[in-house]
Amino acid sequence: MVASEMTQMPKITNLNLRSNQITDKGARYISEIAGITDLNLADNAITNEGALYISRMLGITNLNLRFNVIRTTGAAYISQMQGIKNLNLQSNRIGEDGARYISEMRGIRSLDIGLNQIGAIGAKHIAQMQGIENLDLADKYQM
Amino acid sequence: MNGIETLNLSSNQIRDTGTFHISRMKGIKNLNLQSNEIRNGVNLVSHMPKLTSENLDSNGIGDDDATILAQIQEITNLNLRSNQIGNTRAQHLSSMMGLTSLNLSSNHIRHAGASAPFESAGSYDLGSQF
Repeated sequence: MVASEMTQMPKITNLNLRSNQITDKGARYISEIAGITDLNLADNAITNEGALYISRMLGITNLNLRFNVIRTTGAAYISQMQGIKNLNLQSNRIGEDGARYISEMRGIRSLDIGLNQIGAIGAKHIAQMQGIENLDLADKYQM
Repeated sequence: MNGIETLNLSSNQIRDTGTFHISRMKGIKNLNLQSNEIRNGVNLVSHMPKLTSENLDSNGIGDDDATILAQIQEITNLNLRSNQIGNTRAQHLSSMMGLTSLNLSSNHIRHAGASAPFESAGSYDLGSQF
């Protein structure tokens, strides 16, 4: 599949595979691509396992994983990506513990974790983040 | 119009026949053909030697056309959003060594195909986290 072959693309920095049918296996291939800074995998079928693979892509600054199947553990993996400035995890289900992991990230400027059942406690964690310029916690689907 | 470097023809009805005329504009570097019902005209556009940025969003480009596109080595930005590209031929795009930005959103790409080099690599170590 394309994701595996893309590891041969030495100059690629911006990759958008939104709204395909990519699973954890595809995420594993994608994670092998060196040099990616902007990655959009929204609206696919990536779970916690895929989040682990993606979390190993240390050069990413903009990451969109909206509308996947990432839970608390996946959020913990993603929270290890300290280079991220813009993160979209809307419409997964990271829960309040997932929100706590995300709140520990440094350098985030734009964050969307709406529709994740983070609850009041999760919101409290997020409220303690420093440096956020754009925050979306809307519990409502938005295109 | 030999001096034109950027051409935006989005949302017309260029179709495959129209790409024949466009392909004669050899100096174009940035070409936007979004939403033009192009299905088999990619081979003509591929003969534009200076093309570095091409937007083919929302056409009817399928696997065969993706293979042809892969032969254009000069392109750095390629937008193939909302076409009909699947696993089989999308892999050919990986031969475009100069690409810096690739948009394949809203196609039919799945996780992997039989040719994946990692298929024989066995399981990927996830440690004890799962």
